[in-house]
Amino acid sequence: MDDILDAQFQRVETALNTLVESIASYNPSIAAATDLVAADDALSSGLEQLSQHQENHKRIITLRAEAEALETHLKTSVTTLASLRHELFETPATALPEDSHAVPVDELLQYAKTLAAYTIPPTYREPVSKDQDDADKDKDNASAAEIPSQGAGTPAITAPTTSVDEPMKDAADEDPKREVTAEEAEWYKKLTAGGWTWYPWPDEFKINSGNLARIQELKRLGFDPWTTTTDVLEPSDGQPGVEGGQPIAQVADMAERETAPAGVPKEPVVAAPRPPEQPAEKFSGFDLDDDSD
Amino acid sequence: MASQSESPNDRYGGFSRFELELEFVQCLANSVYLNYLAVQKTFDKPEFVAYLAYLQYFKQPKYAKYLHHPGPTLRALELLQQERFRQEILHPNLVEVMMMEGLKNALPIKKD
Repeated sequence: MDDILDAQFQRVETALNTLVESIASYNPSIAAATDLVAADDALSSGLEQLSQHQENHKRIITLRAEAEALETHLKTSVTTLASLRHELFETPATALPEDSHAVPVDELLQYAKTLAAYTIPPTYREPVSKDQDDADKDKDNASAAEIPSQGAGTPAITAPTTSVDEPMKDAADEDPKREVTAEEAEWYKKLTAGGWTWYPWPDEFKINSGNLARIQELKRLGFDPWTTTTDVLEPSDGQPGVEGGQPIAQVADMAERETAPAGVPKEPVVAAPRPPEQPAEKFSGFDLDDDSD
Repeated sequence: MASQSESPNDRYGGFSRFELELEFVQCLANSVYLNYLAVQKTFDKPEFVAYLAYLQYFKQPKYAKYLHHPGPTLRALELLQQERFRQEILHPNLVEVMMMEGLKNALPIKKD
């Protein structure tokens, strides 16, 4: 590019010189003037070319940069892909035991949802972060010293809100006739502060207000469970505590029907039961708890 | 297998046999209730023991899925099959130990 321009500059210069000489020698030649004009035109076009050239150059540079960026991107993508593939092949596949059967996902989720309502008490809180845990632990260890005297007779649980991993492991390592540890009493006190106790099984209230108890009521009122339903009970009759029966009699009666219709799940039953009537007693088993404070 | 036709005679007090058995087996998860049953000498009856053996069908997944507290329930059912357990559940100490065990196992495993 420079050479071209140089040549054009030269041309212009030469033409100008010629013209000036010719004028100086009082012999103006038109041809020289024309040459000059032509040279000047050539120069202009050369300059245009120059600007074009520079623009092209810029474009080339941008395109080059873009190409490099894309290439880098491609390289990293391929590297990632290779590493992922490597990882994938290294992950061991779980070999399902042969006696397991496929459980539909929906069913599993439904089951989990059903169980969740009964799994942990409403007052349970997830353990907080470690720093807070340590602070809590120091605080609780101080207050826990007072607890053992009261906690002796109380069935209790290990505290989840404070980080008590070590005491929990210790409690598990104790022999089966374990005493209630200090930390166990702590959370139980917090739980009962809400006013009710929680167990991972149906408690007395639930048992006495269940269907079996209602059937007990039915029998007490003289109805035959084989022919009537508990709908005949007035709503007030089904109250627990009025006549909280123990569900044994009903179960014993049901046990009579061992010769069941074919649709019932069956294992061969040993005896043909003919159980005597149980006296309807109030289920007072939980009076054990009255011993403790 | 005949189709399950619900004649009125299949319902006891308005409930199907399965419903009542389900309710009963879940009550067994309560160790105090087990103690109560022992005190009532129900475990002395061979018919009842046979019934407990029969109730083991709840261990199968298609029935176990109806249990609200599968852990304690099935554990209690398993223990009840043993004669020694049926005798020892008379002691209140065992009731308390089982209760504490159940409460402790109910807490999720702590991850750190």
